[in-house]
Amino acid sequence: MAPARLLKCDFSSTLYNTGSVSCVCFVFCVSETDISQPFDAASPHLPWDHPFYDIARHQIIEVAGDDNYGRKVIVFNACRMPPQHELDHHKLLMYLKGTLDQYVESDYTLIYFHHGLTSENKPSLSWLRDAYREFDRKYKKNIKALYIVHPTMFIKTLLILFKPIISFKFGRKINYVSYLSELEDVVKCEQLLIPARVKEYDNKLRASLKPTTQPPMSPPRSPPLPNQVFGVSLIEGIFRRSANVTLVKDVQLRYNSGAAVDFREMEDVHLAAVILKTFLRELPEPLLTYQLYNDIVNFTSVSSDSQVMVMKTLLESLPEENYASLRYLITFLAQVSANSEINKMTNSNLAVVFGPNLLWGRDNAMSLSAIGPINNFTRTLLDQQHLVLLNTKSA
Amino acid sequence: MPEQSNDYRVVVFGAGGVGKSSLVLRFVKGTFRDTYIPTVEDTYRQVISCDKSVCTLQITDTTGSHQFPAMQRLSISKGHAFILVYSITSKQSLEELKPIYQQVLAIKGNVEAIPIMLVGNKSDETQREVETKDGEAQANQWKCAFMETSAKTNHNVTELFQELLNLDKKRNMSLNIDGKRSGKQSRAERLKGKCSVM
Repeated sequence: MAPARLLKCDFSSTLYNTGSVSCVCFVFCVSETDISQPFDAASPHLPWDHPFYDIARHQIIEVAGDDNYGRKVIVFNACRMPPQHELDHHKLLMYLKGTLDQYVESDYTLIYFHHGLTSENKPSLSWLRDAYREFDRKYKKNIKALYIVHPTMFIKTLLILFKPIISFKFGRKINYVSYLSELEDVVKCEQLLIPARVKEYDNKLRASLKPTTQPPMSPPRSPPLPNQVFGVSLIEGIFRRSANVTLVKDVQLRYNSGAAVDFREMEDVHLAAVILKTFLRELPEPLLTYQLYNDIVNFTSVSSDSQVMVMKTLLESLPEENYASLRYLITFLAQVSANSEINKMTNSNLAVVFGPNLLWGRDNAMSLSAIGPINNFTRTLLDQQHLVLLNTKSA
Repeated sequence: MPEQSNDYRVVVFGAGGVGKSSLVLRFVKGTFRDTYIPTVEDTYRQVISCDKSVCTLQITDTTGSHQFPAMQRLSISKGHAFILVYSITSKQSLEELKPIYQQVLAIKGNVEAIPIMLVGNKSDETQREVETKDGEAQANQWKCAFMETSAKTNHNVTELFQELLNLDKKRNMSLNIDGKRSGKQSRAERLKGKCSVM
């Protein structure tokens, strides 16, 4: 399930990398012309007289087996694009469509290696715009994720240019990947046949990092210092108050593009608090999972002396990543409420502001009758966290 | 349009901690507690007079801490009148009303016939971030009414609700029943000064 993937790492690193709101698009145009001659898209070795022979030989587009979720992986290597005048873009698109057509009926993943796209070989902006517009819905619907590897300013500029025309749903499928190692969560890198140029570039990128900086997806396992961002958890109404909407969006964008965010530079501590809530709120599946929805909503009917047992069993059935993230979050919130004399955020207050971000129904229409029980569950969890959450179970 | 029923529904919106619940509780129960409890959603009912008869004034106190677009849309489509609350101590809280106002506008279409009151609460506070004229300017722009209130000192609270009812031109509503003035109403005699209807 998606949250399992999203929550792969410990909480802080997840927050830095996988906020679910992002958008940029790099999709390719499809013409109405039918591909009359079938071909095996998994192989670049087409007979020389095949209409797509001169496209396929560049190995720009490849099919690279299945990803870790059993979805077909289609790879697009920008570095293999020949200079503009040597490539018939129209034909490239037909070839792409021909390749996709064999897979779009089921889910697929598109990985786009951006490195190597230069002013020599990049297609025009207007072409890209038309591309997105002409692209049939069926291609967008079954694409489960688009990974843009080694994004640059160019692609980030595209993001801004295309923002008005990208559908929100599609935007959510787009992920930036700053280092090849991050792809390991999605697909085995060795099966991808990554162009040597891209690998070299990746090594160079890593080498240029300061020795202290870890690649984002392999953060130190030691827990961050308590309250490192919220050293200010003594602030009244922390997690209750809101923050500037524009700034929140700005910070989200920075996280999603892999940029560093330093909350100490920002004046408003509530901004960090809101980002944490927003992150949880915008997960594709809630942290407590749809699986547990009914059990949690009906938790009120559990007799009070067996509540801890029932809650413990429920939570231990969560995917490991969800459990680890929840444990981290709840342990942290318990520290916040320990200061409730000053910050006024008791467990019951925290439950009201966090409950609806931890669980919602599949139809996303939050009903008042469900919020009560969800908040009640959250409050009990906060009250009993020392009994409910295992200290030994680690991610 | 909301169906015609015997209820007159008022919805109170605003960011977390601006005093929505305090205003509503001051109006409904006449009390003020210096407690700090975020709201999920509460609804209060009170009988008022309406067109020579009586009806139920239903006040929905919404949550400011998180947004559920679906729930918010539902409240707006069911509501007859709206109170948009910010705190005069927080410029940000006034900013946060903008998307809510836009939502009301989107759902109700023409807002000129819809009673809306922009309210700057906590007028007793001295750490002011929003000047009265800024609130007035915003109300002007939104073509809605404006008031500053204090739930703590009971400044302009009953007036707020009576003025809101007065804004509805399709009905003739009053907080008084049978012309008998309640205790709260006599307090309403004072302090008319701060209220201005745009």
